[in-house]
Amino acid sequence: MEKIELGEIGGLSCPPRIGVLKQRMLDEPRYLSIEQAKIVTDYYRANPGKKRNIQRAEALALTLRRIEIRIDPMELIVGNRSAGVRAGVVSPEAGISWVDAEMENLPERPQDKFQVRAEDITTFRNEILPFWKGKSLEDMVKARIGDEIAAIGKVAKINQTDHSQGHICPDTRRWLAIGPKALRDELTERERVAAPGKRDFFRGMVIALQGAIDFIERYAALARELASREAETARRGNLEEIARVCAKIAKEAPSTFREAVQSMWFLFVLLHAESNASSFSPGRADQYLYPYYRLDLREGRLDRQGALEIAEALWLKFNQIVYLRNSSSARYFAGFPIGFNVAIGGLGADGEDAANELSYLFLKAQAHIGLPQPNLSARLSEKSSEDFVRECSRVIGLGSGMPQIFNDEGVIPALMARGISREHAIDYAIVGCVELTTHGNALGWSDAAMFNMVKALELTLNHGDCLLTGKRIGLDLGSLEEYRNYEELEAALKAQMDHFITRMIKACDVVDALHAEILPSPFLSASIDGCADKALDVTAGGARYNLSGIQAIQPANLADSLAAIKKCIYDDHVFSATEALAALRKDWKDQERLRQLVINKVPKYGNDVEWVDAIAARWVDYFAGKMAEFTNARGGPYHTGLYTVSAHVPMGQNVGASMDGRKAKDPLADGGMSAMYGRDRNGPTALLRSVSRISSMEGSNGTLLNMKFLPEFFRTEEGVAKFSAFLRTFVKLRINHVQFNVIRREDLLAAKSRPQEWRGLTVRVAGYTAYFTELANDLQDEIIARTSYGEA
Amino acid sequence: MEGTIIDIKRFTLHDGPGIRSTLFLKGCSLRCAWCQNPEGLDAALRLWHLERQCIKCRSCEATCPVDALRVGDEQDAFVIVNHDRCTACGECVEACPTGALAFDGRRISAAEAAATLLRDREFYLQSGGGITISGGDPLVQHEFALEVLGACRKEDIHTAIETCLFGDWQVLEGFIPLVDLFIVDLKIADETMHEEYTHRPNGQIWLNYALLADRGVDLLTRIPLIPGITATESNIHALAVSISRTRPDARVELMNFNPLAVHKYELMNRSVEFFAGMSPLREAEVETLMRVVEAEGLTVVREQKAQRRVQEAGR
Repeated sequence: MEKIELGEIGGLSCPPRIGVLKQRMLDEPRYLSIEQAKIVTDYYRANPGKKRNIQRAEALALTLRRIEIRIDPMELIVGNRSAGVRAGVVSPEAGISWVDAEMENLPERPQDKFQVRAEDITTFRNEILPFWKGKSLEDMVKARIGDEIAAIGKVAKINQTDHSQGHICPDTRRWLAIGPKALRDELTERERVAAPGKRDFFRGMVIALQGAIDFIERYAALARELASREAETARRGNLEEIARVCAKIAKEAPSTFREAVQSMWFLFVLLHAESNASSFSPGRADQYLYPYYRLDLREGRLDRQGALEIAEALWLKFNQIVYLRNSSSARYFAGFPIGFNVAIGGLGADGEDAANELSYLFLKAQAHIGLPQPNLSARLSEKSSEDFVRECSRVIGLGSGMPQIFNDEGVIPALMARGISREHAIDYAIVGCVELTTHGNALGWSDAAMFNMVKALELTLNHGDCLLTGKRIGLDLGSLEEYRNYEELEAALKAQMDHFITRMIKACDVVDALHAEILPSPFLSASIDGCADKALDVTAGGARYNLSGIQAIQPANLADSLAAIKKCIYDDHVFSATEALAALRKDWKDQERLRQLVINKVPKYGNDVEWVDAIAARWVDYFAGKMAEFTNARGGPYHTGLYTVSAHVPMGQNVGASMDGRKAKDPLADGGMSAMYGRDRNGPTALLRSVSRISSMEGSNGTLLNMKFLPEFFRTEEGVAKFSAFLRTFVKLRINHVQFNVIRREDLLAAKSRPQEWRGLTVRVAGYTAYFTELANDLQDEIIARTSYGEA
Repeated sequence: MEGTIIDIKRFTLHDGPGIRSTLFLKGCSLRCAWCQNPEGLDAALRLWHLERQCIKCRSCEATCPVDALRVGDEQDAFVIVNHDRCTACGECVEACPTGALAFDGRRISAAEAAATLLRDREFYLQSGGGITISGGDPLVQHEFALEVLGACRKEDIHTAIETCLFGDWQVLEGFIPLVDLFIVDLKIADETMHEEYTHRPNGQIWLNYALLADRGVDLLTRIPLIPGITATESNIHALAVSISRTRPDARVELMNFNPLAVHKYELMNRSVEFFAGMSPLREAEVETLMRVVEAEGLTVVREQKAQRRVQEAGR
């Protein structure tokens, strides 16, 4: 490992160019964009009857040749999938009926607003929408299994029904190592020697790659043209350099840091152009970009300040692609997180700490930029240096919610337990918010569904009837009044969960298979190791690893509710089952005394109380054990995630009053591993000890723990040192993930009431960072309510 | 044995090095007018009624065996406790669903207290932290405190106590083998003024300070900065002179006035008149007093500001 010049990195400043570009980006309004939708629709109309993967490849290539492109003369790194920044791109193949229904509301909806041009509404309704009726993924899902998805929706929410697959970490290393042309030529050769039935598969990939090459060359041409008209010397020089870099990397492998960063960024633009999906992750960029950086420095082509400027230019680019969700989904995943997840530090292939100078440079970029993207993740292990842990602590203390922290000591064994080789497990990356993946060779399908265990308990307590609507949606196994002891109740809950799990898995399998049918992804398949060798599209199981993740929601509320039932009804007879059930049915109306009793007199998960924590751990184990019984449509395992993103708010709205004292429709606990907000009263060390009782081995799809600290904590070097020790203990405790909001409550309240003054304020929502002022009111309130730590 | 404590707080950050847990004991020999933990003054448990948490459910009404509660009669408080009658039996506390009726502390065995303090052992090891016994003052329930300290020492955990040093030397001396760090509070140099504001003379305190210093223990000397009382240049100077005469290499920490305790006084229905118009000293004023201490050759414990990196995040 080369020596890390910490002192020099510490002194680097934020280049003025970056400040200007950042301001311009934030000032530009977000628009709905139907440009690509129009190109794609025209293509399909003119080319019926071709194989779907060829249609997908040709439509993509056509888009890449036609879509309007733009270069800002001050940009160092160029490229976007739309002319405007942060545009809401519409993808007709995946599903647009919701766009039709919600188009007029986009500028006004509570979460993730977009401007809409009047002429786009007309074009969309007249030329795009009619063509896709019944043909899109969304419509096909509805036709095949829509009723079932709706029937189980309050317990098991099935995802991936109206958009392409994301949450993928492509093989960026290979893309950089050989360049687009060599990749295209290799696939052309494979097409030539392939069995006749497989040739079309490779043909699709070759078509997509040729489109990619043409797209990058268009940027070279545009830069040349702009340079010829540019009078100002520095800008002209920059444009000429953009032209040179793009012309080269359109075909060849990059050889400098700037070329490598530009080439990598184009890979991600291209993936988004093909799939318009949530989250393609750069993964371990500090590792694979390091050789270029080191060489440039050694040969004197670049200094650290110059490298930081390039990194920060990339950081801005990560904020220019956002993901348009329907209004329901925008509530589950508020703040249009797109999940450019960069994972720095962690163990290398040799099992030693792999943090390098770029890891620190990226932290520096994060400290300067402080925007929601990239989703910066730091991997810590017992071998992490004190310097690295401290620098992470300092940047966390700045308050942008990043980096979030992952624990190699927990994650690597958890992945290996799912059949992943040690070599690939140790090279793990993060996709989306907190979902775990291997690097460049997996389709993790990490958000297959969310399973609401709290709702399952509600149905179990009440004859299978929903407390909110009175409708029977679950199995009638009895009611709280009829279970004679706690064990009978638990047995009934298991039966209720089993029933919904079986139905959920069937639905997930149908959706999964429909993706392969409707949305084969040739460019993505060329970027994932395994697909070419298997001659299988990534959506059909081409990747080396094929997993499906289901989130178990929410251990805290389930444990607190069961603890209250066990202690108050079965053990201590504080009140009767009849009283309790009546209180739940009436949403605690006129039963405040009972509600306060369960809140204040029963221990809660998150307070280092073994027996309550054990309930949470046991049910997570049970759920994970069930997942292990199933194989997905691509032949890989189902496994468990313990995170909700921001879904604890809308999922809570589906749940009636619960025995933990929660009122009907109130949010569930945030995060996934977190305690119910306001119920963890023994401080952050007690919370970590509680969380550590849930086995890290079970959360192999990803786990999420939110904590909130006061900024004062980070004011002194002593505070930073104590925070670092706190993180090291977290590593020892084998908890897989933790993230921090560092902001004063008063500031959040001020930002809520005077949003215009706080436009750049970012907060950790749940697995990702978003602009606080762009979040809906209920989510803002929920973030304000979370417990914060700092002063003793 | 059992002791009476206010509480055990985990993740404390200002009671010694590293991440710590602090046991706050009830009972103190001094009666400082500015006391930050007034619930620690008396060793006996006292019943509180926290009006804000009360849901007026009347669950407590019938529980009191000595008729010490008046419920719903008065305008300004729903529940009124007659402290002369209350025997602290706990029946009403048990019945109260919200915790609005609560004691200002609890009884706990030394073994259980030690077990709770040792829960965060891993955090202490990683941070160079440990446990602290504070109060109140640990010298009051010294037998209990020593038993807890002994149990923690057995587990190789760093121990500290925070004391005002008022008590018999023999009692204080008993702590020396079990304590790694003594955090001692000195307040007022002038004997008459000390008695006026703390209700006790300071002669025994200085004697204990000298004897303790003589034994070479790790010592951190703290001075609370109470505007107009302890935080005068003449008082700080006089304290610094005495400290440096006793322990020329002493480390001294000046603790700025913290207005948060006023809230507790209100909860306890104690007069807050003393605090009227008081606010924390400005940074420059603290700095001036620090210089006074340093002029006597003493080391002042200063916060080392975190290395601030350029920041645009936030607004």
